[in-house]
This record gives sequence, C-alpha cells and structure tokens, in this order.
Amino acid sequence: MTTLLLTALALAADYDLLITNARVVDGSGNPWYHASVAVKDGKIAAIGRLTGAKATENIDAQGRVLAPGFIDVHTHLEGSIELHPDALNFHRDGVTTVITGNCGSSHLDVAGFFDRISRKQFSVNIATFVGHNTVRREIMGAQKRPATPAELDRMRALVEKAMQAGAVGLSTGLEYIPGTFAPTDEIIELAKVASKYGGVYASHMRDEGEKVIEAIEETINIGRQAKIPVEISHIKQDTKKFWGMSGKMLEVIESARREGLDVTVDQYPYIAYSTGIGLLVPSWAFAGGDGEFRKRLADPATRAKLRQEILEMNRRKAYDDFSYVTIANHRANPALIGQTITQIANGGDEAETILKLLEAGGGQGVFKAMSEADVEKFLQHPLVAVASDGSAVEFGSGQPHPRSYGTNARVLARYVRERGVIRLEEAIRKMTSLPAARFNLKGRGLIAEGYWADLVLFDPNKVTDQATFEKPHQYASGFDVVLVNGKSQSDGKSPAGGQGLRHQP
Amino acid sequence: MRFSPFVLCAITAAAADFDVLIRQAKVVDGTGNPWFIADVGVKDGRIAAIGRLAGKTADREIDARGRALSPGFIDVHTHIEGGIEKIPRGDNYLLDGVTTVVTGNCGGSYADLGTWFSRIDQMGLGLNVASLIGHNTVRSEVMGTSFKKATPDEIKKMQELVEKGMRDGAVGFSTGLIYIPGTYSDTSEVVALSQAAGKFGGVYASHMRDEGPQVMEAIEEAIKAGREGGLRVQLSHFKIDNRRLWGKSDQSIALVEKYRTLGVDVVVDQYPYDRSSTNLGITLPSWALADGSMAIAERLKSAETRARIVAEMKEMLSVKGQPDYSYAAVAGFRQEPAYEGKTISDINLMKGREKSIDNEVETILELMAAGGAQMVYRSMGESDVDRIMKYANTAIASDGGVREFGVGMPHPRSYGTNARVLAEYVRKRQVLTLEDAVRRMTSLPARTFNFRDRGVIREGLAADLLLFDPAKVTDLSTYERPHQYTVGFDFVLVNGTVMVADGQLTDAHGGRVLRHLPE
Repeated sequence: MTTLLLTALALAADYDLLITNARVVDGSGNPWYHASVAVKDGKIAAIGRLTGAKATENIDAQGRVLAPGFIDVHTHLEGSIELHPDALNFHRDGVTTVITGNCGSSHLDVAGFFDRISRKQFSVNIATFVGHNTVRREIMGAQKRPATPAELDRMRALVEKAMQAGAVGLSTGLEYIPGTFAPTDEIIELAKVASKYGGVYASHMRDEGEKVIEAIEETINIGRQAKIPVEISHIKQDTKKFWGMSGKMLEVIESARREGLDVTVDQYPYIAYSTGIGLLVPSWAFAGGDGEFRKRLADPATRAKLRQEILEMNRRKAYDDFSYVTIANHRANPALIGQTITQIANGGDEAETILKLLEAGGGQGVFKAMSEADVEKFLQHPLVAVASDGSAVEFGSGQPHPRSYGTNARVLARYVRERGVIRLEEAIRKMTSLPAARFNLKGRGLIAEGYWADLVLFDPNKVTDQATFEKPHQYASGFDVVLVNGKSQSDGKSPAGGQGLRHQP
Repeated sequence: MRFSPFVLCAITAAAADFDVLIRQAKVVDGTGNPWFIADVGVKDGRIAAIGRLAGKTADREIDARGRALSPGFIDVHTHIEGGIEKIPRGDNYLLDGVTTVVTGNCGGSYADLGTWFSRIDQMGLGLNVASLIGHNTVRSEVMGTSFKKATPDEIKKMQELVEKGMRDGAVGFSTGLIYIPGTYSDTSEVVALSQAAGKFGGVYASHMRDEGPQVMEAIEEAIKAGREGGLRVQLSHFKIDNRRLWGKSDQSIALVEKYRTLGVDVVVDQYPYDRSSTNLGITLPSWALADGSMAIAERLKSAETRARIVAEMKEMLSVKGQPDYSYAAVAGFRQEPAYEGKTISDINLMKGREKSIDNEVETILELMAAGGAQMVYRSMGESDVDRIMKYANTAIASDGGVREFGVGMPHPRSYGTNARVLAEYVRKRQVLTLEDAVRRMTSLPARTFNFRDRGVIREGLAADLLLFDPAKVTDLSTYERPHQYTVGFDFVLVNGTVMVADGQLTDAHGGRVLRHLPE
C-alpha cells in the first residue's frame, strides 16, 4: 500500500528533485545568479524560478551556492577505487568526476577496467588515461634504453587498443621508472596514436625544478609534433633554488598557445608534493628493476657513489639537509611515519638513511618544496585547472598527502575566502568547465538544462579543508549536498550515481 | 529561409550532415575557458556538433585555418529604435560581430512592443532583437513631460503599461533617470514599476540618476529598485563621468561587490571609450526641459528664467570640473552640418563671439532653441575605463544604434565597440585575455538577460557564430571619422544563416525578435 502511494506521488511530481533558492555558480566563470534547479532522470531538467513545480524530493538551498560537481583530472585511483567505491575523500570534497591513469601509470586493459566498474556502484564518474609507463613496462620491463622499432610497434598497438576502449588520452610520468628512460621521439610516436582518437597528452614532466623550462618545452614539442592537445600535470617549481620561476614557466606556455598549440595546465593547491622517496636517488640506480637496484646497493663502491650523488642532487636544489621530506608511509616500520628524513637519520648520514629506507621497501614522502608565491601565481592564471593528484584513500590508513581529502575545499577556503587570490566563480570554473572542455566530457562541467546533474551545494563562507600534513585523515567540511548523475549517497556512505566515462573520439 | 518553397532544395540539403561546417577553428566558446581546436557543424539554425567531424559533409564548408570561432556577441545596451526600421540588417552591428541586441534602454522603448516586434520581424532582420520596456516611454504616455510626482492612479496606469510590455516579451524594465521625464520620478515610482515587471522575471537596467558626484547614491537607488522588484540589476554604461572624480571607480565597484555579497544579483556593462554620447539637453537643468519644446522656448524667452538657467548651467559645469565646454562636441545637428564634429567652444568662435563661458552657454541655448543636438562628451578617465573593464562582472555593450552610413557624426561605439575591445584592450594593451573579453560579450550578457540558448558554443544552442582572426580584427571608426565599419569578422552567422561571408554582408536575414523566455 505504501509503495503504491509513493509511486502515485512520484507520478504526480514534475521532477525527481528540486533545489530552490540557490545562488547558481554555473561553472562558466560568470557571476552567480538566483535560481531553482530541477533534476529528472539524472539530468538537469529546468533552471529558473520554477514556482509551483513539484518534485519527489525538495532541498531549500537557503541562498547557498549550487555549482557543477568538481571534475578532478589528475588522480591515481585505479589501485584503490575498487576497494573504496564510495571514494569518500573525493565525494566529501565535492568531486563528482575523476580522471585516473595519470603520470604514465594506468590499467593496461582499459576495456576490462571499464567493464569491471560498470558492474559496481561508485560515488564518482571515472575516466582514465592509458599510461606510458604501464605500456612500456609491459613491452620492455624497466630497461634503460630506447625502444626498438618492433617494441615501438607493440607499444603503439597497446595505446591504440586503450584509446579504442575509451581512454581520454596518453599520460606520461617522465620522472618515473621506466618512463624516464624513453626518449622524446618514443613519446611523440605514442602520442600520435592518441591524437588519432581525439585524445589528450597529459604529462608529469621530466623535471619540475632546475630543468623545468626544458621539460615544458619537451612537453609542448610533443604536442606540436603529434598534433595533440597537451595537459601539463600538477605544475610547480619544486626546487628552492628556482622559486619565483612561475612567471617564466607560464610565459613559455602562453607563447605556445600564441603559436596555436593547445596547452593547458593543472595544479594542486599545496606547497608540498607527495611521491616515492626513490625520487631522491639518481634514476640510474633503478635501471633493470628492483633486483638490479639491490645488487648495486650491495656493492660498497656503488653504494658510496649513490650516497655522494644523493647529497649532490640535494645541494644543487639549494637544500642543506632532508628536513623538507616527511615519511608518509613505510610498511617495514610504520613508526617512522610523520618523521622527516633528518629526524630519522638523527645526526647520521641522511643519504645512507634514504638508501636504508629504500632497501626496506621504500615508501611515500611528503616534500615541502614549493613557494606560496608560485602556487598563487599558477592559481591566478586562467589556463590552470584545479586537480588533486590524489587517490581513493582508506580512512585512517597511512600518512597520505592531504590533497586527497581537501584540494577543492582548500582552494575555496584559503585562496578564495581567506586570501582573495581568485574569485569564487573563477575557482569553480577551474574545477568544472575548464577540465570538462579540456577532456571533452560532454554534458558535464556546467549547470545547464540537459546537462548531467552532477551538483554540489555549499556555503562559501563555511566550506573548509580539514586535512593537514600532520593529520591528513579528515574529510573536507561544508559540501552539504553532492549529487552524481542526480543521485546522492542517501545514507551518507553507500556509493551511488557514478559511471564509467568512455572517451568519445 | 525558414519556409523554403523549393522542395528539391530541401531534399538535396538533407543529404549533407550539416548546413554549415566550420573546420579547424580555435573555439573560444564564450565561457572564458581557453580556446580548443574543433570542427563545428550547424544544422537547422542550431549548433549540431562540436569535435572531430572529419568524415562529415555540409552544404557549405568554411576552413577556419586557425581563426577564432566564438559565439555571436550579445550587445545588451543599444538604442536601435528608428535605425533598425531603416536598416533591418543592422549592418554596423553585424560587421562588429554583434548577432543579438537588446534595445529599449535608458528608459526609452516602444510603448507597444507587441506591435513593434511583429513589424520588425516581418522586415527581415539581420540580427536578433530583444527589448526592454522603458520608464520614460510609459511615463510620457501617462503623464507627458510634466515635472511632478506621479499620483497613485498614474502609477497604476504606468504599471499596466509595464506589464503589457512584459507580456509582449520585454526582457525587463529600463530607466534613464537623467532624461526627461524619467528624471522627474522619485525612487518609489521606479520601485513600483520594477515590481510590475518583476512578476515576469527579467532585468532592471538603469542609466542611473547620476554618474558623477552622486554615483554612489545612484547605485544604491538602482539596487533598491531591482531588489524590491525581484529583478536582476544591470547598471548601464558604468563609468565615472566627472573629471574631479576620476580614479574613484574602485569605490563604485566595491559598492557593487558589497551588494553581490549581500545576495543582490547586480552586474554592469561598459563601452570601451573615454567619451560619452547623448543629447545636448543634459547640460541644462532638467526643470527647464519640462512640458515640451513650446514650454522650453517660453522659458528661454523670459529674461528672468533664462538667467536662472544660465546660472545653473555654469554651476553644473563647475561641478563637472570642466573649465569650459570644449569637452562637448556636436555629433549631429541637422540645421548646420558644419557644426558636426566641432566643440561648443569651437562653434562659439565660429559664431564670431569671444571665448567666454557666458558666450558658450549662449551658444548652447541657441542650439537648444533650434531643436537641440546629439553630442559627444570627453568626460571619462582612462584609468577608470581600464579598471571597470577588468572588473569580472562587466559586460561589453555599445550604447549605440543602427547607423545610416555617412549620416551625422555619431560616437564611434556604434561601429567599433567589440573590435575595439579585441584590438586595443586585448591585443595591444593586454588588459583582458581574448577568452575573458569574449565571455563579457557573450555568456555574461546571455545569463543576465536570460538568453538561455545563446552566448556559448554548445551543442543544441542557437548557431550565432563569429569567425575572426584575433591578430587582425580592428575597429576603424574614430571620433573624427566615425563612418567606418570594423574589419576582421570574416564570417557572421545568425541562427545558422550566414550574414557575413569573407567580410562582406550577405542579403540573407537570419535574425528575429527574441521575446523574454519564461523564468
């Protein structure tokens, strides 16, 4: 009887959901306007006064801001989303769509990945790149040498297969193994395949410090040669010695756009990055894989050479020690989490400490290596989108970078509300229509009739990131309603609404 | 075009995927986002596809060769009444990239919009036309130009006329509170009429009561009218129009922002020039202009009244911070075209009189007695023009009209507003980025005036499109030689119809009247 009555009511309603009295920040960068927004069948059905409209569910926004759900184009969740399908750290930060497979690392079998996620419920829409490191490793392992023509052909075939399965483009991580061993020409050849399918080339560049200008030029040149749009991932100047270079970096990118090359950028709003501590060691140490690495460490002369090069590399970056690197996870000894390398060395040889940590399995570090002035300069530039570089984390586990929890809330709280670095509407554009346009995510990134009902409701005076480097496991607060394809997490935790987003060429 | 009698043509057209296909354009989509390269297909007046359309066919293909493709510009502050009837194609606007105009600004519109809309729609419009319902128009209908407060009965009659205008499809209500007779109204009258319009939703667009010493109070009044009427507020041709106050736009912008924070949806528009243009009458006290030309002539004949007018004019000039009337140039004066382009100070000398303020005032009164003149005033500071342009919520709008080529000495804004922003403020001085400038010409005005299917390049929206080379587009119109069309908008499509091809106007008519969409 109850069911019948509910059905009857639903039939009488014009809409599934009606959000009234909102300040609509529509994603375009235009000033907010007052409106009510109606949702039906997962899409935005009407925008306006909507007086007298009936809906099954009603939300009074009470003047809060309604924005498109955030599109986070730089994530790494292929390893975690199936374990944490609620993606709560993203969901509570207002994210409704993620692109994963960044920095060269993705599922190799993109078709299989989409197939698997189509059978489960998720709280975010998911798109993916095909990763260069993944493809190269499949064909060549971790060998430090150029690919043979035959190997290149096989890599091309893998990229093509992934693009056909719906990858949004090709990603590289040229500071990582084995991508760093690839010459530019190899990447151009693979990017041409992605270009054929209308994809984008996204790169964690070869260098983000001393040689960042050359790295940007390499990235742009790949776009030029392969005729493919370029996304520079998590732009930064990560070396103290070169702080203040943001203006010059942006000028190189603007100059490429003037040339007619379509280059855009993304960024996370923190002065620290997070990655494996292997980054502190010269890359030749890892050539050939873990076995080869251990052999090198076992040789006292090579080990001494490595120690020397580690210290030299650090000095070149204008650092006196490794106190800017905090251990974020280390399976062999979780007690070290939260300590800096300097603290762990405790007056001993810090390079040796690093090698010992790597011998014990390595782990993630948080590197406080950027200047606030550069971060703000990038954020103010209209080509730069906001993206977390985060993953779907397990609540309470390890010491992850807070960006997985608080990227968007931090932009809105710190850089919009507190510091006035950018306007609210501009910040929202960087989280919505800019990434949607870049990756051709049709029907997303704007509040417009006929668009998918990916929506977030929040009070811009209240929304706040809570995660810190010291206490990262804290959800952002203030995103009161988050809808993904018109669905919300009704009980506050069950995943709902997300879809796999296959790229349409 | 919409009702093609040629069935055969229709069948042939159906064979192609699109009516028009623009290939390899830098799409500046109107949102403010960076351009991206794409093909754009147009069919049945709408944007049908955006992306890689390599295998698709079209009746007409245009190779963009890296030129920018943007939404057609939406000019929300125009005065095309009169001009559009003579030139329904709207040549000066189309060639400056404008595909939609909102007219009926500054309180002046047609009273019977329904009839006017039907009439111009049948003339074969070149661009889309929407209108506000004007306060001065409805007040003149009910009260003439009498200098008095409206009675409750008069308010009711004016409200009915505003409501009729809104039902006929007006996009909102406009005022021109420095003009006759709007300037005789008080705030409560304006609020009462805004409320009449507000039942339908829409915009309150105001040429405010003051743009100089009282600009802050004038902003407060406009916001009150919009807020209490339930209308979005558009502050027209935002400026600091007083030499002594140059540089104070930081304060007027801050006031606008304060009200946005409080929840009032208020935005502004601007034309990109440091000179304004309006009639000569604004140099006289408004009471002197009441009740029509006969009454004005009577006042000027009375020595006593004339002396009062002269004294107030000199006071007004002093408040403006102008040493004489050399800031005021005649733009249009039928009786003596030789005066066009000359300042009041010049004309005074041409009349063989010595230079003095009294003599220049005399010159103005003589021109007024001869029917008045259209003027260009050099009255704004460059720093304010720049600051207002950089303000994120400023749309670009011309305040111009549809011009008869070669007639008079109009302000160049009718010919070159958008090209000037792109040439001077984007390309040369880099005050704005290309994408942000285009946003101010497209999606920003579209959102305020509720043109929900225009202002962005998106599938399903009306195909109002422009193709241009941002490195070349240039306004040629100047104060000295205004009658020069903008160059550089190579293709202009209005509702999918090609109105400009390779920089040349076509004989098509793609425009239509845009009546207010329900809110």
